[in-house]
Amino acid sequence: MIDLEFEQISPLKSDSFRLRLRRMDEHTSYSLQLMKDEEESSVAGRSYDFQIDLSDSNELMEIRSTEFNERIFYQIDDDGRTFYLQLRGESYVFRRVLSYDLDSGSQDASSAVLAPMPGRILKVCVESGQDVEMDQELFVMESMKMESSLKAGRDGIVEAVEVCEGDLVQADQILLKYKEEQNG
Amino acid sequence: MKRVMVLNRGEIANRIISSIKSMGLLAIAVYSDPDRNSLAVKSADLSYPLGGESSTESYLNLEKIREAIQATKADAVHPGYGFLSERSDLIELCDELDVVFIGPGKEAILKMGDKIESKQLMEKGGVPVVPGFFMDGLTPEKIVEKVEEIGLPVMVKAAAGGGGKGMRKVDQLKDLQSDIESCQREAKNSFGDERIFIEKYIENPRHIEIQVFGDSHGNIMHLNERECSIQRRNQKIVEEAPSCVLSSQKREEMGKAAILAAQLVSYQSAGTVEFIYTPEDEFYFLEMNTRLQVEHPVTEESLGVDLVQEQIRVARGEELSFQDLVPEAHSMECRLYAEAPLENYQPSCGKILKLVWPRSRDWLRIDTGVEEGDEVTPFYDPMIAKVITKGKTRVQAIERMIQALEELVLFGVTTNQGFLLHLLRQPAFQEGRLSTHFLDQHGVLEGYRNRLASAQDEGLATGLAGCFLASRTSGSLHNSPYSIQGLNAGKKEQS
Repeated sequence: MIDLEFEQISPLKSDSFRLRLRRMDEHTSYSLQLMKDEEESSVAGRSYDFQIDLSDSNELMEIRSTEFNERIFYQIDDDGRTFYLQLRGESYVFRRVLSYDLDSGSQDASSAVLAPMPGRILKVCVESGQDVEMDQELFVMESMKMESSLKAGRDGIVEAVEVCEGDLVQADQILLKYKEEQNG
Repeated sequence: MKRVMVLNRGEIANRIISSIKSMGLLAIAVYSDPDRNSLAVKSADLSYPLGGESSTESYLNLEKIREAIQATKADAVHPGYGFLSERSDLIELCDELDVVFIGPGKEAILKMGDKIESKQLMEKGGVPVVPGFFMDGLTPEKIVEKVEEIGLPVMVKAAAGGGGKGMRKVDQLKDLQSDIESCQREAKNSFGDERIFIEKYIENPRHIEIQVFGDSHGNIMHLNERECSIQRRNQKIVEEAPSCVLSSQKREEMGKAAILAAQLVSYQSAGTVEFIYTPEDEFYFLEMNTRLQVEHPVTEESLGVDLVQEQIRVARGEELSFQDLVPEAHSMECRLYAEAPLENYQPSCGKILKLVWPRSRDWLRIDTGVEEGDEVTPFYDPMIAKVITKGKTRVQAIERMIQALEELVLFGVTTNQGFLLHLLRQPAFQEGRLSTHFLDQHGVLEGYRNRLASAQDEGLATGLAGCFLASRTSGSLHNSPYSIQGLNAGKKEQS
């Protein structure tokens, strides 16, 4: 399950809203909930089937569900947080709201540790299968010529480490995945 | 004439360059610092730097232009629209350097450049003008008498005014005196000229203009009309040809009036006579633009002509080549601006991160001066492109415009693309019930805002989620070779 928080920048500015994305089967089916003001909106709980065609370009995706069939142009800015989408001739800009702080470097109850900002991974301190405790150092990262330590935001078991030492990462890129909990 | 310099930038420079080249002539571009890598510079055979960033430092700088003409040995200049296109000092410079100015004569520019004098000239010559009078030297009683003669409502206007400034609409006779006084104050403060005139206020006017063309042999013809009623902030955003409101008889009447207007100033080259058109099918001279007009492509597409080529031919001393022009199509133009309609149409700038034009078709024309990666700077007009369609009927031209605008993808700079689409879908627009107050009358901007605000768009929400997933699965997106197994959604395994 992934919780994402966004705000719309253009054409209208909006308060932030959350998308909860849960994978339903092995491949392309997701359930998506859109939450504004903590209340679930009309798309709550519905299932959507994403077909993201990335085969020849990185800019067009096709989304299909029983309700609609849309071709959406998109682009993600180099900061990894600004999302441009174009749907039926209208361009939208969204910015992802990152809800964790730099020191902890991860979200409580999240299934992954994301890079808080663009930079380079200097050190990987854990490996897959390893038990980690809250506040345990996971990575050392360099960004804007400053070193910072990314620590575990919770206890858990590392399912996979997604980066190697020396890698350049984008803001929000997944660095590490926790094993899904039973209730996850 | 062999080496033609284009004293402009952006889409119009590009468009003129292509006509110059198609006639086998050498096209020379000039450019300011921010425009050094522009499409116009790339498509010209030769280019010359004017330096500077602002228009004043570059495209309006006559000394720099003199230098450019001399350095490149240009033997003709085309001014495009805006900038120096209606400046007599450019023509004087051309005369001095013995270079052909592709456009009208100096006298025509000077006579039509003064809004009040041109109106008086037209009135004397028999071209219908909006009923009105100058206040100078009239007693208050005489003014009231004349206003009653014209009929309320009237507009009180500053002689030196423009852009909506120094204007008052008067609905009742009892307000007349105070409105005149406040208009005078405003005129004095804004323009240093408190001369006032009063004219009939026209409810729901259309803006319809006639394209005219003259040569050096005394021939003057008209090339039908353009309907340019859809305006925001007194600036046109959608234009079309023909107008759906003109009968062929009216078209001939207006054409004749426009030719007369052009004859009164011995007009040569391409020009446009603008009229106000009333719901009662009366028309009044507004002004004459002594240059190529932004919206000239709808005339070209409707009639199947190239106005710039003809300008060049006429400037070489040839006779007008147009004969028996019959409209082939209904053509429409939308001006794609870098602007935020929801923020009072404020111009926006920034880098064009992504730009995908609609697929090319024989009914689609795009005039532009930008390409992906270009910067929209605050220095010049924020127009990105003109999207021009044509069809057998107006309805077809609109449908195709919607199709084209839906296909166009532009990221990085806020544009009026979505707003144009919203406008094109208004029933009143589709039915051709137009006026220069169309956007206000039909609450188009508010409707657009409400539609965006109320759109609980599932497509958008899922698109956003899909976008996020794509960013996780697409290795190339961030040059990251890592794909997240658990999130490897959507992307069909390509191995």
